This record gives sequence, structure tokens and C-alpha cells, in this order.
Amino acid sequence: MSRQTTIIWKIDGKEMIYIPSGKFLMGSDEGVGNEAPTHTLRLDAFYIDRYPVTNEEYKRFVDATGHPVPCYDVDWVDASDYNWDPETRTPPSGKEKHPVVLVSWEDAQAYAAWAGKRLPTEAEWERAARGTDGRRWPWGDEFVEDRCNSKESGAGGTVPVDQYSPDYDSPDGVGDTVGNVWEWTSSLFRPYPYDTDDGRESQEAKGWRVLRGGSWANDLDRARCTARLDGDFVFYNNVGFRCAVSVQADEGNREKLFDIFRRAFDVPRPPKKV
Amino acid sequence: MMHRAFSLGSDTQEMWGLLQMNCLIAPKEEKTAEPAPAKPPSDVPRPAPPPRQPPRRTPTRIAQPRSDRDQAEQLTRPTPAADVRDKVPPARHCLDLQSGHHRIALATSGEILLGRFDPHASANPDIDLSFDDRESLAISRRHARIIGHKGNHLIEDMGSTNGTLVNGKRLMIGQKVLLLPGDRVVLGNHEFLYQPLPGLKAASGPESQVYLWVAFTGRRFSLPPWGEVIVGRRDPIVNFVPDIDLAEEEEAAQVVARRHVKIIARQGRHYVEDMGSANGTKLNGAPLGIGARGLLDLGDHLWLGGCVLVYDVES
Repeated sequence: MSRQTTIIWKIDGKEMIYIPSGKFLMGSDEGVGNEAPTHTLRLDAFYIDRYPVTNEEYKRFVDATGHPVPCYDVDWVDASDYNWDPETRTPPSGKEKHPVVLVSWEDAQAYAAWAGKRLPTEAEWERAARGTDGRRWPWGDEFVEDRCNSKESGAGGTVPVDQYSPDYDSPDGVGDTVGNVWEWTSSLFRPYPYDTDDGRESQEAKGWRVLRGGSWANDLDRARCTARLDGDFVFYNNVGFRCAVSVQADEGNREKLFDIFRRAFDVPRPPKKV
Repeated sequence: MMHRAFSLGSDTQEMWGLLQMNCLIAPKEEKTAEPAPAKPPSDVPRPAPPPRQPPRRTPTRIAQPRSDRDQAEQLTRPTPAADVRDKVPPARHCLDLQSGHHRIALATSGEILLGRFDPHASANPDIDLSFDDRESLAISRRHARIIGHKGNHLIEDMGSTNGTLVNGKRLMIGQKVLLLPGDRVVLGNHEFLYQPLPGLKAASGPESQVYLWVAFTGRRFSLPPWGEVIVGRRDPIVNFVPDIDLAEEEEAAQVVARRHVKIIARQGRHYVEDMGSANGTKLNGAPLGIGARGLLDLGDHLWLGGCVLVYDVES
């Protein structure tokens, strides 16, 4: 069922998955209330990172840009397991393939800018995690433990981003969406229905940004495709991110699109005109 | 974009340049650039250029891990990196509202913006006069700014509708006036007295109650003499209620994080630490970095993403 189109993004070496344009079911009438109402939304085509950005990949970014490494000594979050070595600027050993955590929304934006990408909107994130059929979890509607790194898995921390791939990837082949880490999106936290054009995608505006996917510290009921959290903190030990790229070609961004494909390492075929 | 929380640009350096050129120190002294002997020299030395945009939440990217046992000691003798007071020396003067109890401690360096909180504004003032101004509505969002330099303070009107008066004289656009103890400053309809800040010890006996009050609504929250309290906004979704819950503070609550700051009480003194809130915290206008602790003095203003809390004592 999944006819995947995958590219490798040259700058950060990440695998990206093509999500075709079209309608999908967004939101849920279950949960804590901020996911309602369920509504249909049409999105343009985009590419999204198959996995969250790992420590290893984040290191390429900090090496290239001199961006500060995630390393904190504060008593409101236990960072000890995730702090990078500030001298060598290296991630904690053994966690190279784990998602980077202790990153702020601004850090994520800086990474995306360096990679020539952007953060996904919360709608894109949900579409990538859920497909079009309104399922609860990437694998379907049933509550099954040990299909992602939620609290039930008992890992008590982050795990490698591909631990549950490819068996429990989303219908489009996107991995590690629910569980493991909450992921920053570009969207401001506003009530549904989602509307791209109502100001919630302003990257300059002030406000909380939406986090998606739940984490190792949340139970499976929070680690669902539709769960939303308003990120009212700078960083945490269970918050990371992945990036996306638009592929919709219109008069305005045709040049940019060519550029994107020039920079992509391997392009099996150009996206179909929809 | 990176510094969305603190988009109030700090053009202090530029301003001091202008000041030196114009020498608009005192309104009465027209051409004479020489001020009265009691006043500090007008050719104020140019301060070390402040960072144009203080890096948002300059974190203390790791120190040594601290143990709980060390913490009390660290509180009384904070490490240089961990104490914002090293950058902002203790306030010595304040503006005292004559028609009510609102003391505004002025930091000896840096600049603070006085005005009125507006949930829809892109930037909010360091000092919120919403509650004092709730009836007359005469204070502008960005009303006046106070520039501290080596313990002296200059005041400038920010183009407010109703203007700023010092000793009865309305400030002209671009005019900066040096404040002297006993000066009467009027913002809108509110008169403030510029005077030395009373010390905490003198003002607070053992039975006196220290509190935080919300400058937007005037609600008061007492602070315990010992222990720790979290100031934030309750969130029924995640079933979280902080010790001091600002969820009832109308629009001002919208900018406060669930866990915004922690107030640590030790030996009658209160320290504040940001808990990694997205919008950040300022103490008397100066951003409080991640992991930094600030010691609170009477009249200090805590800015939680725009919602301002005043630290004061029952008198």
C-alpha cells in the first residue's frame, strides 16, 4: 500500500519521505479536548525526515555552525543522561543514533535553516504519522505496547530512532513518530480546526509552539498521532524534532524547488503533478 | 526570529551616543552644558557596549553537578556565573507611586521600559502599570523608559499619549532627564516619587509578610519564609497545579508557562530561578539566564513572559 518515494538530503544526510498532496483526517474527538474536532484538511505535497534528528546528525550541524551544544546544569530537568561534552562537543557516548534532546525551538529552527529545510507544521506532522485514514497510532487503531518507546516500553529514556522500524512505521513509511521524543513543529498552539492561513504559522509571532508525538515519559494514550502539547518551556529531556521541505511548485518557489532537488543526493523521480 | 521573546531591541549604545551629543541632561539648564556640581558630570563615559540583543536565555552551559547539600551555600554565595546580580548590581533608588503602594526598584544599569501590559502586543514592558492605571487608562503600552548608569537614572518619554512630567515639566520628544532624589515623576495621571530604596532588612521585621503581587490584576500571593514555590499556570489537561497559580490573572496568564519560575526562600531572603519557560523571565528588565538565580529586593519586578509580578512587603 505504501508506494514510498525516498530521497537522501545531501546537507544533513537524512532520509526523507515524500508525502503526496491531498486530503486527510486531522484531529480526534478523543483525548484531552485540544484535539477536537476531527476535521478534513488538504495539504500540499512535502518531504519529511523519516526519523527525528539524531545526536550524530545534530553534531554535523554544531560542527558546521559553531552552534552551542545541548548541555545544561539546571535542577528543573534531569539532563545528566543527555548532556553533551562541552569540551569535545560530542554527544553522550552510545546515544549517537538516539534523537537529540535538550534542544529549544530556536535550536531546531537553526538546524533546519542550516540544512535548508524547515520544521513541519503540526498538520504535516500528523499527516506523516497517521496517513489519511484517521488512525490513532501509526500502526493502526489498536493499543499495543512495545510498538514505540512510550512509558509502557519501560526504556525510561530515549532509544535509537530506528528501533521500531520498519514494522511500526506510518503508512507512508515515516518512523519514530509517536513515543521516544516530543517533536517541535512550526505551528503556534491554537484551537482547532487547523488553518494554515490564520496566523498560526507565523514564525515571528510570540507564543507556544506545538509539540507532537509523545515521548518515553508519556503513556501510550499521550503518544498518539493526534496528541498535542503546547511547548511552554525552552527545552526538555524528552523533546527533539525532525524537519520537512515543501515540494509544491508554484510561480513563486519554482527556483527554490530546483535548488532543493539539486541539493538532494538521490532523486528517484520528480514528484508527480497533482 | 531567534530572539522572539526579547524583541525589545537594546539600542542603549546608540542612545548614549546621542546623549553625549545632545547633553539634554536637565531641562532647565538651557545652553549650559555644565551641570550643577551636585550632579554627575554630563559627559558620562560611554558604557561598555551591551550586547545588541542579549542572547536569548544565555544558558550556563554546564557547571559542575551540584549536590543538594551544596545548594544552600550556593544560594548565599552564588557562583559568579549563576548570579544575575553580577550583571545588574542591586537597585538603590526606586519610583514610589504616591496614590498607592507600588514601589519600582530601578536597576543601577541597563534600561527598563514602563508601560501597560497588552496581550496582543509583540513586546511588553518590563514594568507593568496596568493595575495602578485600571481606572484612568492614561498609561501607554510603551510609556517611558529609565536608563540606569552607575546608579544614576535618566528618564525618557517613549512618545506616550499623555506624556511624562518631571517636577511638573513635560518631557519633549527625545529629551532625557537625570532624576534626583525627591523628583516627582508623573506618568499619565500617576505621580511617583524618585527616592532611595528602603532596605529589605529595615522594612521587614520578623512578622512582616513578603508577597508577590500581579501588576495586571493586583492579586497578592504571600511567599513563605522557607522552602520553594513554583510560580506558573495550572493545566488541567496534564493535571498540573503550581504553588502560585497565575491562571486566574486574565490575559496576563496567557504568557506564563506551566512551570515558569521557582522562588527559593532561605533565611528570609527570596531567590528566583527560571524553570526553562519558553517566554523567559526578566528581573528588573534584565533577562535571567537559564540556571541563573536572582536575589529579590523590595520593589523588584519579575517579568514572566510579559506578566509582571512585584516583590514587596506588607507595610
